[in-house]
Amino acid sequence: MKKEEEKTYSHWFALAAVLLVSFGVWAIWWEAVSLRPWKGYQKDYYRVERAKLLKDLEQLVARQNEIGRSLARSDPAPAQGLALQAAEPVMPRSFQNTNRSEETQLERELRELNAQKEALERRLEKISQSKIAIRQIYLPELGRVDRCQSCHVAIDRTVAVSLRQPFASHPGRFIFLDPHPPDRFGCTVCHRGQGRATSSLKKAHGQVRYWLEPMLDREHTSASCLKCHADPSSLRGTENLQEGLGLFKRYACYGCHKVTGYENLPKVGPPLTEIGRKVNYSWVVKWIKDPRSVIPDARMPNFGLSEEEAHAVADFLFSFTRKERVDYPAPEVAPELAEQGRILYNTSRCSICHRANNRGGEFKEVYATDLSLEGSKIQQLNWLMERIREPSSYFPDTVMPRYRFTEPELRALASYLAAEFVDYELEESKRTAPELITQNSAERGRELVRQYGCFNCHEIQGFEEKGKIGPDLSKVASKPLEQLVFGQAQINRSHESWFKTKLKTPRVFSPELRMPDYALSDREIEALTTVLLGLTREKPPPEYVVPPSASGFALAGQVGRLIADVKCLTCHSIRGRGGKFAPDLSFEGSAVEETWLKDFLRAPDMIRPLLGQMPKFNLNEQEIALLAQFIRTTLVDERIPERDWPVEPSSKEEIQEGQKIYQRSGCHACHQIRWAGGAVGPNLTTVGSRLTYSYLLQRTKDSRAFRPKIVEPRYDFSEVEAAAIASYLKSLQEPERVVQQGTELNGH
Amino acid sequence: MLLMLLTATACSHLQPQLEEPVAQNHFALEEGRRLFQHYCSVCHGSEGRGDGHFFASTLSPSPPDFTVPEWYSERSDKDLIAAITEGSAIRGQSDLCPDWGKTFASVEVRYLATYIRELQQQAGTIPNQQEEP
Repeated sequence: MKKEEEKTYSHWFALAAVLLVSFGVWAIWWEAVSLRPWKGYQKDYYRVERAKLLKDLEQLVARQNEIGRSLARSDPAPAQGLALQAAEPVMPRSFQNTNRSEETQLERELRELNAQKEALERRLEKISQSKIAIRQIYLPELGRVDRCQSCHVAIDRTVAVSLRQPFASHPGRFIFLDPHPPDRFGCTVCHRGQGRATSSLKKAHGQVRYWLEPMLDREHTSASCLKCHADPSSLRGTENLQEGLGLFKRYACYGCHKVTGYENLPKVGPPLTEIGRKVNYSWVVKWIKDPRSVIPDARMPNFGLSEEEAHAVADFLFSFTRKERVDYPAPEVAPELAEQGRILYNTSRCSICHRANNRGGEFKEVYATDLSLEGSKIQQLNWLMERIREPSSYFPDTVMPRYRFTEPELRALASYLAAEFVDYELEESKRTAPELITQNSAERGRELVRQYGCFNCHEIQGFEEKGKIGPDLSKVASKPLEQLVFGQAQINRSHESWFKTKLKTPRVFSPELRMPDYALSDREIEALTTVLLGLTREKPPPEYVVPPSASGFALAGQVGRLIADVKCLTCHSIRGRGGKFAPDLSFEGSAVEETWLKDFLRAPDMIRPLLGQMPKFNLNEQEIALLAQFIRTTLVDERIPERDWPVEPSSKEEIQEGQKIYQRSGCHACHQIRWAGGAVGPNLTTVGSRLTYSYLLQRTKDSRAFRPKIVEPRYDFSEVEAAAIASYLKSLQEPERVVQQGTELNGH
Repeated sequence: MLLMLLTATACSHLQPQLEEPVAQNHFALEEGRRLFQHYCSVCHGSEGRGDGHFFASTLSPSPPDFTVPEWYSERSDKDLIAAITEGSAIRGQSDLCPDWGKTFASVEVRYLATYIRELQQQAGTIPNQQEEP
């Protein structure tokens, strides 16, 4: 045993000291470097940018030398069409003056290159002096502090240095950043994430446990548009969101779920109280059990009912009007009548909205019954006739127009439907004798209807006042994760995965869930998830919000009733109200000649190959006169001036000049005059009888002013050229319907 | 051992991790696809094979098939952008494709060119573009 004074603890002290020092070094390193990855990113970015600038500079100097050499030789070198990073493309004029213009073109190029060289050198200077520092955007009105640019250094720059994150610049600047400058909006208002975090990627992107707004995926970023834009339908870059909103309306999620902005909408399905008189029993059972087994793209979902439950519900519905389960065989009809009906079906263009046997139904925004089984589905011909005669008698909120068919026409059409659209399997399964409906079955059916909320989409007697059976979705994306029931599902704990899983398999989270299965494709699920992620609690200040534009058109009076009866606004829009399937009629009165308009309303022919043909509604002469007068006097646009004094008709020279311009501009690629040309745009053979001179002129000058989404390119014609083209087109008229210029107001 | 553990944790954060480089900008492709389908597919077909739906076959000359090697091998990206911007007439071809440079911003023309290259890749006829440095 050593004596106490000979013992030494210096080894322990040495060890402790070493530990302490290394711990201190580690702590400083951790704080200064590891928790500050943005320093590394910024340094890397400047290095990458510097390398790229130096490379560009090298190429630029090489090109300058090449030009210098060729100028010195005064030997025209081949001119390059575009300089290195030209903002606007250089458009060479005609080839005649090649020698002279090349000289000046080279010199011009040299000048531009010099300017670019200076800009590059300035930029190099700037980045060599840049400090490595936190960059933040402070937005007190939005309650956000965004430090995203500390790592995403170049996000705001117009010139892309790299496509790699975090060095990339924001895609689609002119769509996304120009209307939302970062210094007023920041980043997280659209992308979400934890703006204040800088110590790691996961934290900055908000993918940590207690941050409620993780950064959105690229596909779902447009969800944030809903915060400020009540109506994103005209916004570019929101296609995913718009698809989702379209699906939201198509499947009428607002039927069972309350969502702000979708209150007071009519129920999306037809009323069911009278169904016992309309549809055969076997069809009803098959439909209730699984709608998609009857019609492949039915929008009614599958409730997962058993055979017996489906019978019970059908019994309940039939019990309002009948005592038995009844089936009628498909009606017998005379073949000639059916043939007449077929012709009528085609001229009335029913297939624009109605799909039948995999044909038709291009107008997807309107959900019209698939007619593939109509003959087997409906009990009696009379019902069909009545429905076509007066669509809103059965279903008051229908969008189907009232064609003015005569009795024989109605019979012919109904016969066609009954003869053509028969399903033999269904016919086989029909009952030959009626069966009595038992009280028990009907009661069970009532209970099922109450449980599954059929009354949220259909009017059913006894359930008119019932509320929505699903939870309120108005702020579902802000719902704390703890309130979302994940059950036993092995998925990510995030809103996005919960929504996706729910939409794919609605009852997976818990056995007593009742939401039916819509058999959505993955793409539809993505789109709907975008919509759901956009339903948040956040309310931006008023100066950030874009209110929906109010429509300036109300249906009232005689004309209003006529338009409501023929349902013009299902396909057409007038002053911001209506559908987008057919052309906007807001300026139709200024654009078309009245004689043509009346003839068109009597018997529409095809104007635009891209849109197809309008149906023939069989309007009578008074209705046509009323509509024509309304259109000509009210649907006018100040930009298309009416000429109220007689003007000399255009000179022959002007017409010929117009024809030359037409030919050399390549218009015949898309338009036909007589037999020459493509059929993308309207046929122009008699366009002078259809359109007014003023409209032809204004439209040639700027077509997008009137139809923003057309395919036609811009030509930037001068006043003189536009007048010549308009004169030429106006001269193309039908011999029987010649309209002199200057008689536009008086011509009838 | 504690020391080694501590230095190990520190080292994992030493170099900031960069994301995998992408060959094409996603947005350019999507926007290019949208623009192509709306404006160009009527004559050039939805996959750029010159089989546009609307009587493109009656046009003479008919629109070319972009996806065949004979067509794209002579045309660089710059040529493609110039052809879209200036129209086919100035490039020495028919006068049927107008100068879209007046309709589109130059960045949109680049998106279209990106998408057309993608169509060619999808047709399997050219290898993947070079990756960004």
